[in-house]
Amino acid sequence: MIALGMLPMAGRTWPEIFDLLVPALWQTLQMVGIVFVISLVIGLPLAVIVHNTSPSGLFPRAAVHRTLSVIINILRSIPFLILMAAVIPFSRFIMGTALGVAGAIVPLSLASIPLFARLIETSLREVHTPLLDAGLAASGTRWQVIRRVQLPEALPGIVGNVTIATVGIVEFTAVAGAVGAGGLGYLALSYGYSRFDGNMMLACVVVLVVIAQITQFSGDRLSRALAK
Amino acid sequence: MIETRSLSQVFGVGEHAHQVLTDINLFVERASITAIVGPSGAGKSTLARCMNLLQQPTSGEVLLDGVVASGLSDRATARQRRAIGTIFQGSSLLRRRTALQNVMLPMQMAGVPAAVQRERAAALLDRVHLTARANAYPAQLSGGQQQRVGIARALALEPHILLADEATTGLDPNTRSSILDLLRELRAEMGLTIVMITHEMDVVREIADHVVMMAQGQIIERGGTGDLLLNPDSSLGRELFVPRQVGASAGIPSYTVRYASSNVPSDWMARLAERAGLPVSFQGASVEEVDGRTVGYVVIGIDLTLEPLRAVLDPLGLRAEPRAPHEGTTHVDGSAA
Repeated sequence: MIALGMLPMAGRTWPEIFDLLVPALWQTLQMVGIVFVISLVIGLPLAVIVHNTSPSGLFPRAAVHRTLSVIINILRSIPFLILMAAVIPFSRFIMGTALGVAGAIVPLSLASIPLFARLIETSLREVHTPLLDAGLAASGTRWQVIRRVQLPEALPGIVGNVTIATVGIVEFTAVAGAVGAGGLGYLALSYGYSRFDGNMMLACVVVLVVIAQITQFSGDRLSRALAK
Repeated sequence: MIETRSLSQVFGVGEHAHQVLTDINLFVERASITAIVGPSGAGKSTLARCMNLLQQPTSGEVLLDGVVASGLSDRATARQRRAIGTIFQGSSLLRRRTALQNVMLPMQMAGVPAAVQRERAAALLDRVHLTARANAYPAQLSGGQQQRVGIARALALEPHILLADEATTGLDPNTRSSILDLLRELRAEMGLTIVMITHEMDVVREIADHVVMMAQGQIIERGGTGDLLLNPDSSLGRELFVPRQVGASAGIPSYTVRYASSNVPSDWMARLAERAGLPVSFQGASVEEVDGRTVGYVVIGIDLTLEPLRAVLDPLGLRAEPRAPHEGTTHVDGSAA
């Protein structure tokens, strides 16, 4: 009902919407792309460490496991909108600004890295212990077993879970748009919501849905192709 | 040759401490096949994990060819493991690698040049008769084929010791004997020392030179397979050959007669009938040749008490025992440890 109320007839023409939409889409894709890379580069090793320091891991270290686990849980439990506002000073310190795409990278990464780490950790946990034993018995060191057995065997699951997390980043960027990050979220909120432009809202929603669908579809295909 | 010296393993600490292995001293000779048997929870698998250096014992040590191999660093342990090939229960193959790539895994770990890896892996697959399936993924292979790939992989670094942990469990009888034939051939060709962890007593009779019986983390009996089977006082010998239920005797006492010597005359039943002056009814038997000796048991019915029956049979190298009504239904635990 509320949605219908937000979609009155008045609004920009489609060519005008198109002109605003293209740069916003580009900003969103930039944010998703950069945050995806950062999350993978930090989240993957983090997941490997968290999982393998657990009692069932390859080098159990209870203290390390618990500490990292608690940090991840804390970051995961803060709602993104609040996290975003809370880290503005930190963001300004690291990136020199708290606005635009650059300003959004820090909060987006802080929200996304723990999500990646947890989901990848779940996939690593699904690799059965006998396979790791087989890797060790095949004269592998523990690092070799991680690289040649644990990660490759978990790969289809990792791809599936990373896909879910990536759709999560798209969602975070939309929220970030509300606090000055730009992109499709900004467009949807400032034109569609605040200025009651129903067409603009519709266009943004459609584009966001398409991005999420494409991501999910490609991720699923890749995951299936990797599983034997 | 592989040896353990006063090996003990404790899991947990304080009041949760649980002693899994106590003072295990084991010496497995070069080119011999030793079976480790025992009920589940006896510590067989833990012993196996200590022997292939997957686990550090709480105390004691593992020696490979007389050199201490336990208690080393990660890297040094990985190096020592090259001397031991392990075959696991069920499929421990990597799902995302082909049969050939699975066999190459140990060589990649050990840093064998890529060209040699492929060549040697192909030769090993040929040895286990799987050349045609080299590019198949584990999911496309039968249980027996997967186990053959597992054997080829275990041999990839030319180990002199092969450890098989319940390697034939879950395979059908034909597949199982083909795997056992393969292990026997490998021993003959390469002088492999083979340690088999198993609960399948027919596997032990078929392949093992020596048997070690474990219970509650300790070795309770050991010996040559043939000797144990012919020793009527050995509980391990009995467990190796458990009489099956046979037809009921028609009102006369029933006895299990075990072969207790390698010189039992083949016409012993006729001799018994003649000396006792009584008919002997034949009720069932299971007799096999192990190590070139006849072992097993025959169930007979004869209207005679135990004393006079033994007086006739003992000199013939046979040990008679009265049969309880439902004897033969007990057997060694049938599940994997």
